[in-house]
Amino acid sequence: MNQSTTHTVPVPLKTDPLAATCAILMLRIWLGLRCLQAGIEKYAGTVYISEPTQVNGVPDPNGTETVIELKEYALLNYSGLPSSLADKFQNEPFISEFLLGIYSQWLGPLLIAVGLCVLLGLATRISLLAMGLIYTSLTYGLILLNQASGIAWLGTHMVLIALALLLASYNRLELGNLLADRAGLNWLRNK
Amino acid sequence: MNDPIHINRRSFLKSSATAGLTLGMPTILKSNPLKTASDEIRIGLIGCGAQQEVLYDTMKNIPGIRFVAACDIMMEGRLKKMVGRIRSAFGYRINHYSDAETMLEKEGKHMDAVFVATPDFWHAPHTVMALEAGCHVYCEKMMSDTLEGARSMVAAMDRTGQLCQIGHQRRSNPRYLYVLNELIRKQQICGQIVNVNGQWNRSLGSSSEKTYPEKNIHHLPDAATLRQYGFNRNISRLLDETELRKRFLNWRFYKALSGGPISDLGAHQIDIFNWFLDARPKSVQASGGRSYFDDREHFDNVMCLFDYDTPQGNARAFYQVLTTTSAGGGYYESFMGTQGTINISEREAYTKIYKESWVPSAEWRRLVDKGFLKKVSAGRPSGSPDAIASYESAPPDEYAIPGGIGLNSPYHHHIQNFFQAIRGQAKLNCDACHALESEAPIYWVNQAAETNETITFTDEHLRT
Repeated sequence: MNQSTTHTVPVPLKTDPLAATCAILMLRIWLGLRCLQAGIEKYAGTVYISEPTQVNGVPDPNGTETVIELKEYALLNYSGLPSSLADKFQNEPFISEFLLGIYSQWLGPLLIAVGLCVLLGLATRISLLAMGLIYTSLTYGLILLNQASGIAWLGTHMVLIALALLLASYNRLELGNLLADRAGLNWLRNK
Repeated sequence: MNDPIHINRRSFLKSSATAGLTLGMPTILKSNPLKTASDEIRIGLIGCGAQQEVLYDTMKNIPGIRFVAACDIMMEGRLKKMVGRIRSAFGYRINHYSDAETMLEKEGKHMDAVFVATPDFWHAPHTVMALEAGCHVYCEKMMSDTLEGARSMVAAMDRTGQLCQIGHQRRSNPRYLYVLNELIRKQQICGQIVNVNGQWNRSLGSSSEKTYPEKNIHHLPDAATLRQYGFNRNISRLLDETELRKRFLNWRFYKALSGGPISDLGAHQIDIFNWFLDARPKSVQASGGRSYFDDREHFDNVMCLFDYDTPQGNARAFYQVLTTTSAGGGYYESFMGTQGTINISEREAYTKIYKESWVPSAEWRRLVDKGFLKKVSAGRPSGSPDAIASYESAPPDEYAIPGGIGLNSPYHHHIQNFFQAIRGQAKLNCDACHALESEAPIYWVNQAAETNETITFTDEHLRT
């Protein structure tokens, strides 16, 4: 008996392929932007500038000034973990100060890199896994500090990451595959 | 320095219709300008304590200056700290001395300006010395611990033709200038000012005795040095080193060394009364006591009442300085008029403007529309059953000033004004003569409080 074996791709969620493709795309955009911007925000700072106060349509001759607050991004502004949070970890026996320093130093760049990969679709599965691990590490810190609302907030991210991984086989619109086809960069495929 | 310009200030003042008209008028004396407006101003520092640090922190952000020398009798921990700060900020060393006279003798010709921030009883000698050495002077208020000392500063300024700015920094503060020039004088939002209230309430924590860390006690000058520099003055016996060091750190507590809280804190604010009212008081009544610090020479709490005849009519100004509690809204001056009230302070948060409820809103709305004022909130009746309508005025609307001093320190504009005057680009906002016109009444408050008598001012009391 000539038996032919058919290899079927498991479909984790019973849905139509188009909807699933749209779903993974939406999740990628949401998670990617969220992660990317969270990383970029670590380079945000506030600058204050002073301008002559306008009185009756002209600068006040008495020299009064109005202070304007502006947000700016610069490498010098980088702050991985907020100091308020970092201070709280000082007394945590499970946290090594040395490792915390390294973690704080790399958290921003990692969030930006992973966010970009998920957003553009570069090695999507691996990128999503990396994102999940970053959020898990952040969750661990919040568990130590007993910040329940923060843990729950990061938990919702984990649910979305898990859902995106389940739908990864429907991932079509991604830069990784395009680069793999055109430039032979197979490692960028949706793995 | 070039030859000074000599102008007989007193004959000029006498020629004014009233002495009040000259209050707040900038000096007509101008220094000989430097060669160009971009020339560096070379600066010396006399006294390197906490107040000089405040001035330095402001000065270091102003371009076009160079520090040349500094002096302080406390070489360790104070003078060396200042020298180190200048070196790390500017990359050059300055010469430093323990004695002001020696510094002026050796460095006088290399300095354009000197900043005097020493205890009050040294202000006059140091200022006169520096003026005589050919330097312009910025001297901290109170001008001197005595009226005679202050008068000697004015005389030295007149005699030498050098500039002498007194550190009433509110005189150059744009917010104060805006309130006076724009709101009170041009827009006349207060109507007739009938009453002024001012206060500086300071907590026990800020008024307590200063001590020096035991491990660094050797930084403090020794007994011989402190005697040489007057910390034993007006006392018949020789004080020991511990007592002298206590006086050195807490000179504000002693009658021989300072004018006490009324001059230490009140000088700034009573100066504003006279400046804004464009008048000098006719009399002063005062009350004071040692409510908490019963071992101190000066009263710890003082209240005084000045009586004025202003160009608008009669007005009174009440001032209190408390060194025992900070309750009651900190420090401010409140100008209360028939149409509106302006509370102003160096702290922007304490600055508030109120419109009397009977005044039609249309005019104030116009001022808001043009940017002269900012509306904060409408007055709201309390609505509580204990508010008896027939006895109570309707609550006033609250407004604010549209701008402030920006990102600058409160001292910035006053020091900047001093530098601009040295360069011939401006007139001093508070030269020694006008400062004394305004400060003179303050010298009589302690006496009024001690005797419980009203002092009616004569020309002799207030002459500069």
